[in-house]
Amino acid sequence: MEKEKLEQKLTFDDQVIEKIAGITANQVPGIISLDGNMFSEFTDKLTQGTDKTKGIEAEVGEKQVAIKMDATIEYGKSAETIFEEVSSRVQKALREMTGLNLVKFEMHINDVKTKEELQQDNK
Amino acid sequence: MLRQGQERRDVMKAWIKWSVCFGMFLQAALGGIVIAWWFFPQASIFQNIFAYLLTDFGQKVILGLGIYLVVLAVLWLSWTISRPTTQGSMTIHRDHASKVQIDQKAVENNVRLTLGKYDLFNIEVKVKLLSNRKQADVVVVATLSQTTDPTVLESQITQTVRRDLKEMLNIELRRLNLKLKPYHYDQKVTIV
Repeated sequence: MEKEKLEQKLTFDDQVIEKIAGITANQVPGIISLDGNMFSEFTDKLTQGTDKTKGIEAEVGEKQVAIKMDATIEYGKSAETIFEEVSSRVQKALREMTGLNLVKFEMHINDVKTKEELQQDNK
Repeated sequence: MLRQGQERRDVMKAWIKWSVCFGMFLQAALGGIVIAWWFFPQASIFQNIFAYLLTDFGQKVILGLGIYLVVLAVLWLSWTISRPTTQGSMTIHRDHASKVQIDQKAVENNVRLTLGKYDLFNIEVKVKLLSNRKQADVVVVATLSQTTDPTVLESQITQTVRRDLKEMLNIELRRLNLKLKPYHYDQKVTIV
């Protein structure tokens, strides 16, 4: 008797990809914070800063993924180096965890701050 | 040196502005005359104008005006096309489909933090991003906190800002305009 072939499909919600990218990017030295729009900043205040998808927008296909990220970087670090590092780490994390290939990564730097400035902002 | 360059640019800008104003005035005057002629074709003033324009000198005036307007239009178009595009954000690095963009505010903050090590306070920075050239024009207004030689300080600041913008953000400094004011004892101080 022939074994019945099982139809399998693994898909990911956009938020899952955004969360992976967010957690990974936050670990990169030079990334001070990921910043969202006014709505996500408000949500972040309500959820006491636990929103890991803040400032990240993912477009997920079956095999590939594109990510846009809004970030504040640390003063004194090279923006290009931070971008390359975030891009490669996010690509590696997505491939390992989801098997998806990061084909497009856009980073938008909307501020440059020192760590002291960030601490003052968070007080 | 920087001040002389700035003055030359200001004179150039004034020259362009007045030429364009004159060209626009001529166009408006010609348009007004044509409209008035359409409403009052029999008016004696128009008969006189047409009679004058039909003379040899009148024909040369028409030709001269035409050449002036064409030259002005060509100059204006070339200046508009060739001048750098300024935007609120700029792409500083590309790698195939991926790219990194930076906001004007981020560049301003970067320059402000760079200037923090100098004897300056109440630092205000304005940056114009020339996105199609990957360059920036920077204007710094600040108050001197010490009796430092402004010429030496200007040269040091220009070098530091140029180096930091290139190394940190991959942006070339095209022009730095530094306006330093002496400190007055009752002035409020903002710390970077």
